[in-house]
Amino acid sequence: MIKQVRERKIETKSVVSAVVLGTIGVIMAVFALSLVVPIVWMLINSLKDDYDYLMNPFGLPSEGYWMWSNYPYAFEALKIKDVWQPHTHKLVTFDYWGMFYNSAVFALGTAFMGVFAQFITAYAVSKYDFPCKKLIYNTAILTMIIPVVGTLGASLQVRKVLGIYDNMLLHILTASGGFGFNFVLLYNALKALSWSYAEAAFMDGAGHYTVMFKIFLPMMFPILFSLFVLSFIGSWNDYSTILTYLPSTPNLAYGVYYFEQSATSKRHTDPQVLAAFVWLAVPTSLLWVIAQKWLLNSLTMGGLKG
Amino acid sequence: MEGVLKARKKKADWKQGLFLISLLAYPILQFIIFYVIVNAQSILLAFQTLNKDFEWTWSGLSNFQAVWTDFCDSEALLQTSFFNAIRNYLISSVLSYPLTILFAYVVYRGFRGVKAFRIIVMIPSIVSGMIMGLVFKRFVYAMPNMLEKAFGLVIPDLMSDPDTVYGVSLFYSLWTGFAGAMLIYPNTMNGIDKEIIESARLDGCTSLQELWHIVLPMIFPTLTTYLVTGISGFLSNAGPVFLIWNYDAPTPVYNVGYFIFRRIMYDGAVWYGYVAALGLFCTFISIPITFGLKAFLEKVDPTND
Repeated sequence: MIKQVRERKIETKSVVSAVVLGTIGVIMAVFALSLVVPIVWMLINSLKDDYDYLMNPFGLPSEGYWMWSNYPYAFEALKIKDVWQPHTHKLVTFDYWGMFYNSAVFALGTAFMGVFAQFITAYAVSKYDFPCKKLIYNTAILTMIIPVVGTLGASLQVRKVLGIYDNMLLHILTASGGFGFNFVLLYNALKALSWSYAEAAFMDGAGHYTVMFKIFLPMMFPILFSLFVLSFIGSWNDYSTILTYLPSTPNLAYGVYYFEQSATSKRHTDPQVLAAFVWLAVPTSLLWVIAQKWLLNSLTMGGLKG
Repeated sequence: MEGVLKARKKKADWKQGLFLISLLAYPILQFIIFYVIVNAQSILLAFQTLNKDFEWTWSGLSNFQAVWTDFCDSEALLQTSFFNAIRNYLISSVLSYPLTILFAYVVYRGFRGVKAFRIIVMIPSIVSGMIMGLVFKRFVYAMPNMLEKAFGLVIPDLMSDPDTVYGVSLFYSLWTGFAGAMLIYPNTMNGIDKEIIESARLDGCTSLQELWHIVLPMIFPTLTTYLVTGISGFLSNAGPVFLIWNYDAPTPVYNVGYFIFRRIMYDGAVWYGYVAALGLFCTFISIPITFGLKAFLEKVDPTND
């Protein structure tokens, strides 16, 4: 009798559990659909003319009015004219490829410097014992959790004094620190790797750099690659850093932002603006397709204990 | 012999010391300049104002007084910004965190379709948050027209109606905010010992019991990280406000992050001192909350047992 009651209880709990998980599954499906719809909407509407877009914003383009020409138009019109160059004292026009180049340099440089600086910091702190180790680790954690607000003005002043403001190369070299979320993530991953590999290598006469670059770097490669790709995508799409710190080297994201903001005055239609959005999204979408296998499976995060 | 060994050890220590210096010199220097010096300069700015000759002059506590006056004034933008920032954090904590964990658990269990879900959730990050925001803006603008045509339903312009703009901004933040957590949580869950899970299932543990009694306690440190760092972010994040409304956001959607960004980028250097004082004020308010929450979560952390 008791056994039967117990089995019935377990059965009821299993049914409740299945219903809850099923409901969550439905919510996830609706949520996923809600993220796809605007992208499909953007693609469809980028192929309309302005009248069709205004009169029929949620349907397919009218027959005979598939405006493929919006794409070459947006490509040509994605231009920022007369950008003052403080170092050469000239006015320069940036077209799609000019901004693409800035995007590539900015995204590659920022992603590489960021991931590398965080890797070497995490490696030193997680694998070696030295006097300030605890201090550095606690500082890294504290900077993550202490809310620092309102330093934008001071940051602009310091960068202007040091000559870093509006200089792409110096910005890339100085913007990436060794701390932050990625530091914690890499620290935890490195901590989990056994030091015995290094000891064996030291016995064979290897130096510290050899151990770091030839043993631990390859073992960390999947995580580092994932962080690099995520950082690259983030920097590729970053227009606010350009707006704030690098106004004379517009990247593609800033170019599209500018294109959208000036659409009314320059008489770009909404479908043409949507086509410009697609031009920006193509490179990162391709990169995501190539790298998603690594990205989805390599990142974990631990706690904040100092 | 002992002397040779000592000399060798000394040499090895030197080599290790130089190696560590070469690794840490750049990150430490970067930290000193862009964290310590920038924050010190910000503290100094909080006690200065720009006069009409564009010179910085010491102004005592006037910036703090101005911040306090605005903070207490229900008509001032600053109070609305604070209120919204706190509201955003609380609503996203109550709504978004539990949903994130439930979503992550379903992904972790590997049910059909979850791979596609994980890829789709990343869309706002892949195609750019900016594009997502601007497409969202146009989409919402087009909606009233569509609803009226299709169903005869008349709704206000959601992007400008004061009763709906805050909801639109909050919805956007929640809607696009799952990407990072969806990368981290399922992988952290995958790190849980499979034997524990299997033996629990053999004992008749249901999925919800498994989530509540095994998975949640095991990922508690990760949860703590997100909740604690979330506090440091809620006063500095401008969210989608600048993206959607540029420098002309309606008052109901203002938050502290947007307020600061607009004052610096649009209104200029004359606001640097006020904003720096506001920053110190925010830090002063949020430090006890942050450390209190961290201490509380670490105390109740089941992985301590």
